[in-house]
Amino acid sequence: MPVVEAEGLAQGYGAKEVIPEVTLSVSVGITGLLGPNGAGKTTLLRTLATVAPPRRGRLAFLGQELRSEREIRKARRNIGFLPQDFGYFASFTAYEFVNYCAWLREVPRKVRPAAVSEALERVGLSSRARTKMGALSGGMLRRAGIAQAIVAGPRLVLLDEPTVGLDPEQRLDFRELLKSLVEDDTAVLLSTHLVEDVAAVCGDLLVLSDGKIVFAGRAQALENMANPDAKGDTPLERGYMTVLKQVAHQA
Amino acid sequence: MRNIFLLEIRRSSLLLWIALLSLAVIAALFRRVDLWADVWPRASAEVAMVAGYLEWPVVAALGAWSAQRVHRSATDAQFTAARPAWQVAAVQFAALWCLALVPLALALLVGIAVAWGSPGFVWPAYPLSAVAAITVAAGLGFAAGLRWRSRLTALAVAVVFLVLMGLREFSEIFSFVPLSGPPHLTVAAAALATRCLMALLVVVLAVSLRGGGRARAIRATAAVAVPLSLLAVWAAGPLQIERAQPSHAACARPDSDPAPEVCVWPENRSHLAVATEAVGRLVEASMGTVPIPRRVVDVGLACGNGGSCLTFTATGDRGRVVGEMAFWLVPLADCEDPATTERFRANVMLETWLESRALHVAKSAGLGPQEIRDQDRAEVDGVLAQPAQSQRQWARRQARTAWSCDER
Repeated sequence: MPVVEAEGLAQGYGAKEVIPEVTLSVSVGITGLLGPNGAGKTTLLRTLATVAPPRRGRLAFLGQELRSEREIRKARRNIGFLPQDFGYFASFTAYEFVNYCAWLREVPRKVRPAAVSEALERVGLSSRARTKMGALSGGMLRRAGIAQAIVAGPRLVLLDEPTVGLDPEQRLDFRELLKSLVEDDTAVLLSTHLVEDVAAVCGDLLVLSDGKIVFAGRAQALENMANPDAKGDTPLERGYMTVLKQVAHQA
Repeated sequence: MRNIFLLEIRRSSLLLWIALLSLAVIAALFRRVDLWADVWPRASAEVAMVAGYLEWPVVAALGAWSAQRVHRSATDAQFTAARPAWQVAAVQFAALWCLALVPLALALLVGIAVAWGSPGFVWPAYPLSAVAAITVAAGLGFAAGLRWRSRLTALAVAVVFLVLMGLREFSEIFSFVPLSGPPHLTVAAAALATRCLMALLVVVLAVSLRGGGRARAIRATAAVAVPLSLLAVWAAGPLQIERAQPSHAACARPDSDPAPEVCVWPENRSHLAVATEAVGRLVEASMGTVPIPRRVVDVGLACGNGGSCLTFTATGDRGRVVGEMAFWLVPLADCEDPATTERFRANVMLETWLESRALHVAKSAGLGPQEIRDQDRAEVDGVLAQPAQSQRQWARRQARTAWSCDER
């Protein structure tokens, strides 16, 4: 069963409609969300995370359509979100910050300390648990951000450009972390413009262009679409560029 | 939730501000320590006044700043969580509120320490009125911070609160804290209750400002109830009302002839000796030139049978008490005619002479009414240097002039 489904989903800001209509479903496993800058990836993730209510369309989580405030709040307990512009309270320690986010997600008080410690351990921040967020490096902040996203044991993790600011070693560690999440029966939607990240961990791919899903399928299928003359160093990159070029040509 | 509340307090960005505010409040409290040091109602009101007025604009601004934290730190997305928004706001506001009460609590402790040993104890209605004032400021500031995301909101809120404090009519009608706490006044229960109710409603409005569902209905109700509560504050009347007469006032008589009975409120008992001594000095200084009433009573105390009494404000400052009593012992004549200026001059000189003699000073510098002219002060100083008999004759002449149209 898909963890999250969207049908005819539309979203925008003011007069601008960033996503005219999107239909998608994300199941357990790691799904990559690729798209050029301005394609609407962040807007889509914020909508799926229920941060911004959709303008139109239907959004369902674990088969339950999200209509009422109560249904939305219930779904949020099972959604972890790492926004691209991840914010934090500089005066909080890493432990306190993740603990606060666990409280926001209604993790029961009795299990919260263990959940926070486990989340920090999974992202390799246990030794920095008492360090203030303001004193963490960029990479450590990203890991703290991932820890707050997974602290409640969510069924859906939405990660918006999570590898920005990470060095190569940290990115490799991050990929291992993503793989371990799937073992927990979790669906991960990974938004990035780094195709090599996607190639390394994602089974399924969505390509977003101008607020529309222009490709949905296995990574292999995207590679197979690659035009040999297209830009790119890998078959996946060439497949991605081919799809974008086709969309531009049709437009 | 308790852990998160403590976390909010421990990691609050307001801690430094609260520490500075506490220092300012305590410093301001000591500036007028001689006025309240050993009288509990005065001490209680002073604590409320100093903390209330100093905290009002600052706490309102800090409330706005605190409410904008989520937006400022770009944690909006993380805060879109399963937990109802009102619960998140409630914990955040509770931390703000507790921190805002710290300066008041410290001021109260200082007040208790200074006034300790005087008859009575803290009058709780006064600090409670300050709690209501601080709560309203924190709540309105918090609501403004949630409503408007501009970084200037905190500054704007502080300015608005300062302007409101400066508007005399607003301050009189909607005063939340007293300017002073003389024993003859007490806090009106209805006035305090309406202010506490308003504070509660403001908090409900601020906390329910975000979130849908039930919070939306509560928000709408509170938005109507808050202005209504302001009307109730207005309808309830002034914060302070006259207090009922005490069953036993503290009274004494000076060793003078005549020896009027001097009475003060029981709470002012520590000032009775100063007042009695002042009366004795004035009786002796007057040498029979001005009428001395049979009773001298603290402001608010009934004159008792006969009605001939002088009212004064009991304090521990002998000079201030003597000055006030001399002012009332030498009243302006109740008449108007072309000779008013002469009468006024005589009145002013007589009062200055009486006060100077009572304080046993050879020169009247700094004493008497501000209106006294330089040549008149020089005349008084000259008289003070003369023998008692000459002074008495001079004083009688001034009294005849000052009260020439009176039938006293």
